[in-house]
Amino acid sequence: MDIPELIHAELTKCGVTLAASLPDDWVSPLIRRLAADPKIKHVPVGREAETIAICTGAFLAGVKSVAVMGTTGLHSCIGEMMTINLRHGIPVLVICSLRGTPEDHQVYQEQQGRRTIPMLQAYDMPYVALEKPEDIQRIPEIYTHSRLQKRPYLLFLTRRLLRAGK
Amino acid sequence: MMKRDECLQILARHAPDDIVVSVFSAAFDWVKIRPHALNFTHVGAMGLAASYGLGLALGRPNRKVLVLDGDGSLLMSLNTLVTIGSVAPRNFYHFVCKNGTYEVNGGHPIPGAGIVDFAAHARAAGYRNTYVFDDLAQFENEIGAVLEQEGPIFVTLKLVPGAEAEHDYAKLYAEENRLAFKRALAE
Repeated sequence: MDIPELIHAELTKCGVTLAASLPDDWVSPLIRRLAADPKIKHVPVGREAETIAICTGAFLAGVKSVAVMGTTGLHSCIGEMMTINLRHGIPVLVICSLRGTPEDHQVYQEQQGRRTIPMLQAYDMPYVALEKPEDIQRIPEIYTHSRLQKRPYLLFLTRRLLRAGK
Repeated sequence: MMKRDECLQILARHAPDDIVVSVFSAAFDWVKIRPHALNFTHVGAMGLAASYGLGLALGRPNRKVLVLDGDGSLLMSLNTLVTIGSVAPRNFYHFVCKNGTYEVNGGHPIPGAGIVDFAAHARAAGYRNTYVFDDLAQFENEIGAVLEQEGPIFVTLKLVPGAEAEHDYAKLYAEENRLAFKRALAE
């Protein structure tokens, strides 16, 4: 199994039946994989903040969901996560590429990438970075933890992890 | 133009037990007119009322979801129209309370006030049907049939403020209301 297949399998174990997404090139294969699953309702959006609100509505309706986006998108919807999910104690699991690391050679990812983790720490949003294929099996416990935290919860896909699947 | 409270009173008679997501001025009026566990008012930053509604509509496909959006709020996320037009939930009814201002933020005019046609945007984005109401009698006569149609439906309500409702955000965002909403949805 490749990395998107492994992640998809673990999300299925979690009971995820809705995925809202806006791609960057690193998370794109995972989005394709989720969109191809007839048991998952995939909602492509025009702006990352939509994924946060859609998953919030789904949570309230008792549906397990996941938002998928790139790092730049994460920075663009921090206000929504603060005023919706932090303010009202509503969990949302966000799967996000971790751009701007030394393995990322795209210059346009550098500025936001350097500030991603400090930003999450400032907002007190928990996160886990998946570095190796064997980390993927942690997704169910991370999903449960995200529900217990009642906050936005970031699950980062690192370049190292995504390269391991090549 | 219709007075908002009078218009929402009519809507409440046609939506006694539906899920309703409402924002800002419309929310204050709505919860006074239709107090109900299935009112969701815990919105955050402006612009995403329709996205909450979409998540709820997908999660509860057998229940109608009404969104009472603001024109300033919708203007902030016109992209949500395209997402909803694309997903096309049959149980989704999107109302925009159009008063041309950022009412709770000081009454400043929104860009395009008097020009922008949100129903046209929604139609172009793929909503099944769109309507514009500015007359209370016509709204009373037609809203029942509008709500009988399959969604997504978009309705522009041309409004002016009516009787003032209390603007108490602590009540509007009270945790017990959110918990009651989730419990009611689980029934």
